[in-house]
Amino acid sequence: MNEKEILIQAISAVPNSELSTLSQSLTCEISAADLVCILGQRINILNACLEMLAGINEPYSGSIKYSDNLLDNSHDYLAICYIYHNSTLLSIMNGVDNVKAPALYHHLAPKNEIDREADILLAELEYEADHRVLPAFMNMLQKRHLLIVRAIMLKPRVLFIENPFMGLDSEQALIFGNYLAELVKKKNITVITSNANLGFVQSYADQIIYSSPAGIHVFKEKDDFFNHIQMTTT
Amino acid sequence: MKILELLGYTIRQFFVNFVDLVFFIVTVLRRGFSYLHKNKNSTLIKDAVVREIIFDGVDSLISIVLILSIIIGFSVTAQLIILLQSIGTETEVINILIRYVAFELSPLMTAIILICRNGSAMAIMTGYMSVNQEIKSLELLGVDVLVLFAFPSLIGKAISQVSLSCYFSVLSITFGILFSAALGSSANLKYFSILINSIEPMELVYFLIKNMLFGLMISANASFHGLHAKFSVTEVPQRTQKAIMHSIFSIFAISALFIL
Repeated sequence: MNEKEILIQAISAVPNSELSTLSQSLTCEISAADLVCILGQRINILNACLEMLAGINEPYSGSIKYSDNLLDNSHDYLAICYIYHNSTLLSIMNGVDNVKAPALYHHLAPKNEIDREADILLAELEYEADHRVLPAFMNMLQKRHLLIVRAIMLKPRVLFIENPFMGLDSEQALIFGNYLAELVKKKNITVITSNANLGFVQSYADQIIYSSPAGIHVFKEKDDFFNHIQMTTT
Repeated sequence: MKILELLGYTIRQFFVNFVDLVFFIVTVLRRGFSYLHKNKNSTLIKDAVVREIIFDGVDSLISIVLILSIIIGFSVTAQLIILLQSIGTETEVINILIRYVAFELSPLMTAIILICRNGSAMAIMTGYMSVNQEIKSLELLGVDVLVLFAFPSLIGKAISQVSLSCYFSVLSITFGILFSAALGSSANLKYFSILINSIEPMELVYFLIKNMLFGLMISANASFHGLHAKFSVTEVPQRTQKAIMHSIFSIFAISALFIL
């Protein structure tokens, strides 16, 4: 069996948040095409963890190491994309133009190729929707999907998403969760989310990072995580 | 004492803002041209500049500028011709028309139209995009919003201001001479032939540079203040007011500098 390439390595890294303490250090390895969920009670710490892993914030102590592939700027793609919880589409452009804008800006391919790529990615969405309207006329699921498609147009190796299910009802969350899982499976993108719902975690997570007041625990097996939760709550 | 304090504070703030704005313009131009240099085949910015010129220049060309130039032609140019030709020579009349109507009044009127119509719209749009976190979302995808939004606006508004001002100057003088001929004597039509010979090439160059600076200042004020709205929607009207007031101050200050 081929070993997966390790993309991100956290070594006793403490997230730079007012709420985190030195006891909350994170040591983990995140491989290519992994789906990692960061869970816990304090959303600030979860997002601080996510930002730390994405390299947006330096760790308070410890270190984060990235594979050479992620740091190499010579590729025709943006290695890491980050979608934070308040991310929104540009209100002045329709959905399709929104999706294409960053790819056109980075000039990753000729315009006709970017147009074609956008059409393919939008066609993969599991429902019928008009993407040529302004974001003001879209529902939350469509906006969230387009945010992801906009990032995928940049062909990232790792996609960080803060609170991916925020504002979605259970049916929309299910559709969106399936979509994220498909991204990992079919496009080999590593997806790292903060604060995912437990149904999604149970179905798809390859690794769970759980932050509690006692510290940050890393679970490679879902059963271990759920047993840990059960033990700590009883 | 309080009045002096307030005056001193206002002047100091004005200079601080002016320095910030100049730094902003230099940064935007540097990043914009550097982006164009690196991505020679990219049409994104070029398309955005064309859209900006259409929105700022072409859309307001026929309706607003035409109507205002007719009004200025009637109320200022024609009255000046009728009044001045009774006390001065033909050359003096033409000199005053060129210096004050064509090279001073028309650029200022055009700039005020651009500030009211496009500068305010731009400040509101960027302000809302900034408050709604649309800007931050793009920045997290490695997009430089100064290149994507501010640069095309800067270039587009500078081109629009220059072309609209030329258009306004020509129309306001033309309509003025026609109205003066209609109201006074048809002999006033002679001013058309004298007019062309009286324009100095250097004056024309100053006129173009001044208009380009007007356009840059209007756009820079709109983008700069719009992007400074960060947290609350209530910041957007405040920032828009600042953008409009600073733009008006800037164009009068530039105009005064060119007279010196």
